Amino acid sequence: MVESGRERAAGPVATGAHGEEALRYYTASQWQLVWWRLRRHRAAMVGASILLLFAFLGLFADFVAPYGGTTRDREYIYGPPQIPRFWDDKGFSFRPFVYALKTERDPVTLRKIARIDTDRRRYIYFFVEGEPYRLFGLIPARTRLFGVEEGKIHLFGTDDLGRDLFSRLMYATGVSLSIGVLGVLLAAGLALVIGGIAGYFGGWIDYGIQRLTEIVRVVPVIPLYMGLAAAFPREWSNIQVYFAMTVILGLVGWPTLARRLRGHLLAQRNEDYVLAARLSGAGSAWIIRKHMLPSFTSYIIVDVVISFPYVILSETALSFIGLGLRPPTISWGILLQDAQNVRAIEQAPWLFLPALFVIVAVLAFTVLGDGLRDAADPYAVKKS
Amino acid sequence: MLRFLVQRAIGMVVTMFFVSIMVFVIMELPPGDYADRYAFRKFSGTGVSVTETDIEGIRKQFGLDRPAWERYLTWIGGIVTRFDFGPSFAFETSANAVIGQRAGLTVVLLVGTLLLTYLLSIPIGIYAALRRQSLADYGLTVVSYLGLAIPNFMLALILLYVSVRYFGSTIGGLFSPEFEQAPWSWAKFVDLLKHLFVPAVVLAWSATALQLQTVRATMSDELNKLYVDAARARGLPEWKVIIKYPARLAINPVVSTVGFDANRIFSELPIVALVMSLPELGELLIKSFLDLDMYVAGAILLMLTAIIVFMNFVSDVVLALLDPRIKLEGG
Amino acid sequence: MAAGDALLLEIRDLGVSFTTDDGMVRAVDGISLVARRGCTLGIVGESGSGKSVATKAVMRLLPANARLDEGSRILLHREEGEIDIAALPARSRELRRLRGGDIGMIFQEPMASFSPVYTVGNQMIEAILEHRDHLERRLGERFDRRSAREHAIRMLERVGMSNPRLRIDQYPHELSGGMRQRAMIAVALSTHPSLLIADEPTTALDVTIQAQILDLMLELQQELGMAMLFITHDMGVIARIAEEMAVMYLGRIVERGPTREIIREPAHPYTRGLLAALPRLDTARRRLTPVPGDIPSPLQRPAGCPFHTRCPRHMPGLCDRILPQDTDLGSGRSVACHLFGEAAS
Repeated sequence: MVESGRERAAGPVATGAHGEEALRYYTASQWQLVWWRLRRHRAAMVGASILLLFAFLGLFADFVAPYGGTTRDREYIYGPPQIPRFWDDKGFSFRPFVYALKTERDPVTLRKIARIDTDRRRYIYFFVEGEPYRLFGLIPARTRLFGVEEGKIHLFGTDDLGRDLFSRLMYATGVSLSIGVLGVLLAAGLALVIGGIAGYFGGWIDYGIQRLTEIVRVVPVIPLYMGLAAAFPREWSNIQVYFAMTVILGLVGWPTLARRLRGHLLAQRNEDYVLAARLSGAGSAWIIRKHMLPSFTSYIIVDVVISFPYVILSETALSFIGLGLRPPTISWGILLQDAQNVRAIEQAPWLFLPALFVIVAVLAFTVLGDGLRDAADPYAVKKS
Repeated sequence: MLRFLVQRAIGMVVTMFFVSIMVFVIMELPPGDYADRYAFRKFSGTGVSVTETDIEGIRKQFGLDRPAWERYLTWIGGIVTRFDFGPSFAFETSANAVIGQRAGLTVVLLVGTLLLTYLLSIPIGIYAALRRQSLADYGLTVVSYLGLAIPNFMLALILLYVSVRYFGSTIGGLFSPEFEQAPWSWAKFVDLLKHLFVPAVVLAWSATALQLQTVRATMSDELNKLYVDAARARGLPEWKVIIKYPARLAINPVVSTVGFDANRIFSELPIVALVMSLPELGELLIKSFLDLDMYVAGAILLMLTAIIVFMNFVSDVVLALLDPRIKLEGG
Repeated sequence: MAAGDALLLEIRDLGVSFTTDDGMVRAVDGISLVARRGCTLGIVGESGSGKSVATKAVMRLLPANARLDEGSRILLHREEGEIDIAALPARSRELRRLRGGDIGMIFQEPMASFSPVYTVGNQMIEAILEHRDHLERRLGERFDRRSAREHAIRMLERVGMSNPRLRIDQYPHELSGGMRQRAMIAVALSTHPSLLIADEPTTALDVTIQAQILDLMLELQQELGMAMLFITHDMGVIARIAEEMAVMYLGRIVERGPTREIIREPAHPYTRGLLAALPRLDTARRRLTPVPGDIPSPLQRPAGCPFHTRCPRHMPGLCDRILPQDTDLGSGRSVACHLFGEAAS
């Protein structure tokens, strides 16, 4: 408002009437400051909560899902979602229930079809014994979060083979998020190493690496992924394909990250405070560790969070067109393969629920990334 | 100016050289070689037993027994000298024939999408910057978040669904059935445009969301610059101040990212094309990767990248014309 | 500055408030000023004193979150009659005619006040053509595109640009800082305004160039007979250029009067502080005495006299309670300080 923005931002804090708060503010560490600012960023906190929930669902998919990923319910093929209720014509119940099914024959085609039987309730119980599984692939267990006593419950409906979409979506969430995490970590690692080499040696090595990143960046991303994914041998196991996918996502993802990191690094190097440290006789290693890295880690974290959506969308897209993960592995992209044409939407619109998960996850990562970026900016003292 | 153009043109050729090597490596990546797949495709199910010598023969016929660098030179040589992208075994013809018309259609779709993106994002972004923190501005922010989060194939499916459900016609494909076989006419052209419009909207969706934010951010920065007040202090009418000064600079980042946008659009093209059954390069690329028809895939990858590199070149030149601060002599 | 000099600009009870995320900020708190034809009025103050906001208000260049007080008057006395700038609608034709027509303005950063993508000439000619009618009245000549260009070249020559025919087609980044400020002056003066507002025009320049620009401005002022409103934080510059001055502190005028008198014998403790902080060549070894403390945040204006938090002669119980009113010191001087008041207790 008055003269310069930075002066203004510092003003009220410097002369703050709340002395104690000001003291707390000045003695806080960088990460405390970032956390305080982030906490005030409501959208970012919502995003973070959603991601935590997703991570929980993915990690404990076996527990949350009532059935296995390939278990079929032949009674209920292309069945619509069953919505839990608390009351109907027959009155109120504290325990939520869904209706049972009865099998009838279609009078014209004589095919067996499932009909909802509103006369019979199936009550939902929690922590029930279900199909056995191994938690984290190790601990044998039978307890599932919820289930019904007889018959089956399909919260999100079933697909063409009668597989429970809710269960499959839980497994897919774990697979898609983990592949995203591994892919992003690999990309960040590569970016740091390669960017570090470029920054450390400088000169023609830096030049060469920059040209290389430019060339990788100029090729359209998804077609490039497709080219690499096409090279997977057909006979590879699902685990092999899974890890190969993360490698590809990392390989194609690093140039963008490396470029941004290098940009930050160069900008930091020219800052006055680095010059000041150098003039006071600090060595390069000291400056990098003590001055540049702290200001830098926040950028790295922000960049990593921001690049998540791209990796997740890439995985989804690749699996969607059949060049990524392959069934029986379940990922968001694989689930969406069932929803590839208009007929699917007309017949079974619930097959689109996985897309909702993708959208929500991407949105959550985006707002969290934006919030982190604002929070990590040391000059954004007053912007909440 | 001439020196600048020549310099950038040389840069373009160098980049394409390295890209071609990368594409060649990708073509070589899948297990087995062309001869294996050719033999498998041609003779499997026919009852003819294929011996190792037969495959050896095919290998010789296509020159696969020679070292990789020699094969690269033959391949790239054919492209550069004869514009020959090699054979397509899946269609048993040349890659050129398979690609044919699809290339033109792809370019039309790209240009259409870019135009749509800029026609939407520039004015709306400028408007949002002028009305910062208004309801309209917040609304646009939400829309552009969604633009980034909704996968485009999803949007394509929704639009297809809407058109089937409420308009009783499909917008997939290139032509309505009645024009499919018809000779070219004005009506057929209009029909083509109608069919291209929806894919262009789908493809422009996320690019617009991104550019909108860029334009808005740049415009907000520029609006706070002193020269805007200086222009007002000279007594210019407000609209003239806005359009001549900050808006003029707010389009620079858009111009500088034309290549990036093209990259993005090509990245999304295959999947959208698959969903909307558009006969263009992206869809063919998926098919050829699935069939391991690598000469066709390589040709498409090379073409798409060449278009992007050319777009980068155009954007460099336009930017230099727009901004006098960019030195035309410097590298 | 004889009493007979004709009034040109009269600011009465000007108050400006900003709505910010942290509440209302009172940047200018009811100031009144007078500028006379052909004279220079200097306004001195630290960053945050509200001097820039006050002058921006005269040009109505305040951002959207700023509000003028109801009773604010900014009267411009023209030959056609007087006009209240504060009452003009924001996008009116009258306001546009004043901006760059009757009132020219130059800014602190000569680099930032030109758009980098147009030539100097482009931005000059645009202003000349915009004010064709005004210039016709002033000079009796109606400009078209070509004659406007000739006029611009003459103006560049007049502000001491070498080779103006070449310079006019150059971009701002191709000129040096001093050259740019000369060009900026040429733009502002090309429409022959009767008032020139200069917002710290020399602050961003080297000292030697500063002197050149000041000399140039004095020379042009005399030649064109215009009034000047000169904003600076530099007492030395004020002493050199302004016949009359006003000292601002936290949105209020604390002292005003003929520059020479004030510098010889400052009344307000703040003015004294500012002068004591000035280096002097004649007493080389004396230590400079800065004004202690920082200017308070306009969000938390002190009660009573705004300066009492830093005042060496602060009288507890009086200064921190009661806002001092202007006290007439004779010969056109006045001061707002309890030391001179008729015992406001």
